[in-house]
Amino acid sequence: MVLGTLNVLSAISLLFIAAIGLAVIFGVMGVVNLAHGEFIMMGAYASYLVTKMGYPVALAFIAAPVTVGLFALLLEPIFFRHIYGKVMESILATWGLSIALRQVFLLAFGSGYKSVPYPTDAAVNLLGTTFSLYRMLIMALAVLVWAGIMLVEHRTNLGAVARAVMNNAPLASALGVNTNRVYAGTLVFGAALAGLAGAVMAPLTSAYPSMGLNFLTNSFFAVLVGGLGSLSGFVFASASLGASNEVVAILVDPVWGSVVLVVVALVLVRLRRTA
Amino acid sequence: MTDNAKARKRTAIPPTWQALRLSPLSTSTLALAAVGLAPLFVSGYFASDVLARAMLLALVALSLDLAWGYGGILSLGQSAFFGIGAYAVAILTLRWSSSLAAPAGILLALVLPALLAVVVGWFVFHGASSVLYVAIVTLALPVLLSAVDLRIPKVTGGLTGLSGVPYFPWDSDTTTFYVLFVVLVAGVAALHWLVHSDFGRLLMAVRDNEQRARFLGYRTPAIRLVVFALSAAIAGLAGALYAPFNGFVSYDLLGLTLSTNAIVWVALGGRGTIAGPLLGALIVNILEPTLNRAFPGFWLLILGLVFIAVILLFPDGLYGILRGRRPLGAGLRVVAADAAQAPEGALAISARGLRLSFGSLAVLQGVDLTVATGTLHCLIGPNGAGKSSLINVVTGLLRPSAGHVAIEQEPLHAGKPDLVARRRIFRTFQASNVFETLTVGDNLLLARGAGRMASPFRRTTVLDIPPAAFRVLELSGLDAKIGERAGELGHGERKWLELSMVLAAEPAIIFLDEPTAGLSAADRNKAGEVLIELVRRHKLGLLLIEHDLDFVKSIAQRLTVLGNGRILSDGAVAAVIGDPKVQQIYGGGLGEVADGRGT
Repeated sequence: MVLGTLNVLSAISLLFIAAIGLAVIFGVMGVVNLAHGEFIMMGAYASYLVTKMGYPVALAFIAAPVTVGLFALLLEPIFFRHIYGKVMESILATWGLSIALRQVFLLAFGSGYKSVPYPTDAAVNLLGTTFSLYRMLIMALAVLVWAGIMLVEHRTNLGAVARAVMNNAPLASALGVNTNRVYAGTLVFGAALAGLAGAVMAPLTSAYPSMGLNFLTNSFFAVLVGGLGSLSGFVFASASLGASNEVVAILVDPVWGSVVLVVVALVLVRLRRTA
Repeated sequence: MTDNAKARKRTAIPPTWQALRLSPLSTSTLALAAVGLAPLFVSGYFASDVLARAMLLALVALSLDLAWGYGGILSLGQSAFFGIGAYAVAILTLRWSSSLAAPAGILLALVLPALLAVVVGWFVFHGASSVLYVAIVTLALPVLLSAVDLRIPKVTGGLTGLSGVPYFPWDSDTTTFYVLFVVLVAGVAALHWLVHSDFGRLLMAVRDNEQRARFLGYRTPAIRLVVFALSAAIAGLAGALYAPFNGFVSYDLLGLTLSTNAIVWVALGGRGTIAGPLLGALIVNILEPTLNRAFPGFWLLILGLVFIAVILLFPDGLYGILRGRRPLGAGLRVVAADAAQAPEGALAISARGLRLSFGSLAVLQGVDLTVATGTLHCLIGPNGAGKSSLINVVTGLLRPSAGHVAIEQEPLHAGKPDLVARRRIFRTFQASNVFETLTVGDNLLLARGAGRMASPFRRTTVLDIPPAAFRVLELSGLDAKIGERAGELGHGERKWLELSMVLAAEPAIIFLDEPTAGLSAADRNKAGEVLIELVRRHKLGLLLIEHDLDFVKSIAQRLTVLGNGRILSDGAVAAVIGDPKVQQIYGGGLGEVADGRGT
């Protein structure tokens, strides 16, 4: 029972971490990033390269977000800037980007799984159950990321400006806010969070070119169920989807777990629209 | 294909380039003719393998074009439908040794994908469906189905798939080629017929402006469901033919690869044309084996980059560049109906105790309002009084926080504007709301349909609209612009068009949100005459939101003043204007009107 609860909590944390970058980019900019999964994949490969070069795996948790954030910064002027506010174009263009990125990594690294060592193999004893310390740390990280974003959003000028742009971009722009810079900043921040998610996932799943797809749909469902620009809604969505997925995965089978996640998401969105 | 099509093809041959630009049908015909004659010129392997496969996949591209290009449903799930079709035929023909196995398999290949599409569509098309939500849910389909496929190896063969699927009931590759060719030609012809029918116009109207379609009475979620199911069945049929053609099916048929490729073919070719996706799918699939051998691994990367470039630079696709601006079909002629308007029954829509709040902002604070046939009713009030919100609630766009709306004592379910419209209660919008990508004539055609399902077998060429609607066209000069795209009209003309549209729908009651805003004084007077006549002669009920008090005084029979979300005064025009509470808001200006000294 304790183990089950811990597994569910850890699944929720993983979904939260995988999807938070997407929630930030989509919530502030309304840009639909279908390459989000590939951003996570790039973070995982960054982790792999860091450990392969002999550096401690802990460094990956800095290197991965920085790498992916920089990549997004480079792409901003030539790619993302052209699709702000255009839903259909951003779906298609980022889908194209995800195809291209998968192919680049397939060519560069091959289709095989590149394993990344756990930062710690230790286990903790909780109420008589041993549980991986790494997974405990992931839960702590999820809480930390959540608290950090809450702080930035509500207690800093940066957050106030981002909220202003989210609410009414033309007005914010008329008041002298450089909305392009806010967009670029948000994009880089969201991409860095995706990179961090990649570093978190890498020891669990290894790095491989098509890994992003697994995170993409679940992340999007969390964001869509949570509703636009609402962190608490997003936390609720991650919790309900992550929990239903994991409970079925433990009781029945992981495949049916992911089916259940989609069904629960469909029902929740349909209920919200009817209410 | 129709005589018309044949005629067009005959005349198209000399100035080929011009024909390609102007007639998508001739482009499709030429492309199909080239494929059909190809076996005479290319190797047997090339025809029976590469070309035949390309034709099958072109069918998938057409199915996506129907859903996405014409229906606005960006489906990333076509491979799921294709895969289900392929498995249906493979499993039945392998496991059931009966002559019925193949036909039953094909039937299942049509029905199962359509059912899946209906179930998924029931969830995602509800309310105002967003492109993104549809895309993500349909994206999940292939991902989930290929995982489930691997999970049930007893049925699907798991990782190894199902091999040895029986070939077609004939042996010759050439026969297969021409059977697939006939299927593709039939698909192109059927799709061409469908999108040029009245139903096709409705489809494009829903794609471009779902809200307007709902307010004309169309059940837009149902229309999307039909199209999505049809698209899924076509993809399923392609899968059903693929199984015996390939002899082998496995989980990767269900996976995202085919879905992704289909999006690329359709986007490259140009969505919302038939020729574009057909050419896109044929060309990419014919080139692919060669280029894949030449640049192993890089072909997909190049395709991905070309795809991005096309999306960012040429959103209409490559055929869109070739074609330039689509010439508008001269098809429709609009005439005034001979018969006088059908006698109208009396009808009243009433709101009781309406409240509407957004968070702490109370927009409506307990409003009662009745609008009945035979009355010209004006609603005035300062900016922010809640006038438009009131109409939005009454016509079903917004859900009230409290209170209810009833048509003839029959309570109305909020959030169903199409139900209101089907009781012959229509509305216009403050910022004019028409189908901008369609012609003036097609706008009127859809309005005339007023929620009745448009026929997929008919193409209306002469549209008769009620005399009142036709008068509006004449007054505004729109009768000379029937073939023009509504999006290219001026602001005033669009308002006139919208008025003509709601009149063409044979309304009992119309809500008009600032119908004369932005019109010149002369136009405004013309509009006033039309409105008065509608009420006097045709016994319509009108509710106008207005700002111009002189205009209101000259036309209104009844006046309601709204302030801060409450009814300040309601009744006969003179009495309301004399009301001290109203005087307080409008001050001197209204006094002049009340005293009859206004100009």
